[in-house]
Amino acid sequence: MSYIRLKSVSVSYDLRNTNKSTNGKITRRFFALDSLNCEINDGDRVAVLGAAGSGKTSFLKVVSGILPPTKGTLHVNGKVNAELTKNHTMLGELSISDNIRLAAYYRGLKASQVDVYLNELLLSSGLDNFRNQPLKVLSAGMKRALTTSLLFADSAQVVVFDEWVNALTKVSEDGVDVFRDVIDRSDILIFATHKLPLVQKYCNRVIVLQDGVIVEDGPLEKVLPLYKAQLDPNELVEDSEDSDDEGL
Amino acid sequence: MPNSNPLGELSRTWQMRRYIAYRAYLNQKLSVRRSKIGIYIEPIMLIVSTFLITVVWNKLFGKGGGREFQDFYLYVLCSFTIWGFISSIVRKTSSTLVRRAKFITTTQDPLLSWVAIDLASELFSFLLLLPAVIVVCLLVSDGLHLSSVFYVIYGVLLVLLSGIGFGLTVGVACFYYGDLQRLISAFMSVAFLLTPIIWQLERLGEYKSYIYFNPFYNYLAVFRDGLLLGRVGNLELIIATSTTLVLLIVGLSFLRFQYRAIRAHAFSI
Repeated sequence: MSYIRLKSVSVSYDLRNTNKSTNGKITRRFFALDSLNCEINDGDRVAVLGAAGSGKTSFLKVVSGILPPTKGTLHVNGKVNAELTKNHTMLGELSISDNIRLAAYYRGLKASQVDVYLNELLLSSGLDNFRNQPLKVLSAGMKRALTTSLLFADSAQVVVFDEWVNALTKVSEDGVDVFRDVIDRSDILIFATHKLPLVQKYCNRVIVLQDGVIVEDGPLEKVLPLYKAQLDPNELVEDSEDSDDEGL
Repeated sequence: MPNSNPLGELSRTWQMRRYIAYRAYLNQKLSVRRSKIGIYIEPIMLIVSTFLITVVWNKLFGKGGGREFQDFYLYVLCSFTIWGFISSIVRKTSSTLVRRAKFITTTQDPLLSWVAIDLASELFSFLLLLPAVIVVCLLVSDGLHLSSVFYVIYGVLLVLLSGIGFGLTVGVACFYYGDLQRLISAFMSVAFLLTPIIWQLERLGEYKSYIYFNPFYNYLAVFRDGLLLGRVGNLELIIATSTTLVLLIVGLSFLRFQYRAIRAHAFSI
């Protein structure tokens, strides 16, 4: 059974001046997360909401084990796959085949398994005819197809995405929702977003952060209306094409 | 967790060994992607440029011809080969963590794996040069000693392990002090002249013993003397091995602090 437990977790940074005369001097202590208590269990599909700078990415980094808490304890049971940045294993100058092979090795496959993985990925992403083309020449849609195929091929109990996930959630023309498949294969999903339609579509629980503190945590039906009510109508982000749609 | 103990860090990096090796191979492939000569360009350039330097030096400092010229050529060739390896490792590993700050703070990969990718890339380039250097040595000299194999492997291993330690200590220090990377680059140019690469140790005369304070010399001697003579001075071996161990131990002993330091300073990169 997968779970994540945070007990009084805080993350703080020393903010430093970057101007020349005081370079390196600590100006103040900034709490990105402040005494968080939270338990995420099997079956939870959690949306992390909040204004810019509210601590969403720090929260995701902590639950992924990337950022150790300054204070408090974190217990994670299950393999975590954190996709907080666009694929860092991808090299635009290299061919798609080379990039998929690299991704295969990154996922710990042996040399004998790599070719099978490569062929499966090329077929599932529909990029078989482009296997020897440099990654950088692909369109945003093709890159998205490749990224979702890579995610789908990965197995992890806990899947964590940062806001760039918005680009992956487009349903293809033939109605296939690959992101839904990624979710269905995991025990726990956590992602940060500003797009409320995505929250409604994929999540059953919402955590709202404000200045590093959890201000709301509960079922989708209860928390989302409260969150919407607090928002300025201009801040509501509808499910439209946006700058996140840049693939990799 | 990324802030694990040294054994955890080593173990997680070892699990990524295939990825690191393949990434190093791809880096090499990328570096020659626009070259017609491909991977042969580096060995050809090394052999030709060291030959030209030997000719010029021979004229300038009046060394003898024939056998003496051949010996000096091999000396310069071997020195350049290992110096290129050492200096690129020093430059690369000191900047690895700063260059990768964005990814270090957003992925679960161990710090050591980032340093290892750069080390593996440099090792890959070095291994492309080594066979050419050995062939030239076999052609020009009277033959190589069997013990040379051991010293070459040991010398390369020492440089790689030192690279790990250096990358994890100086690499972290570069987060605090932005000028450090530039200072290291400048220092390496001076170190090239202070190390017996294009001049021989005998030139120092009575000050010869001071050379042991130059850490690069000891690494150089293990590789060069090991390859050409099949033997290495005990002092050089001891100093090179001790320096490596100290760098490695220091680099792997403060991982918790290093992770915190990088994350705290990543904003300013």
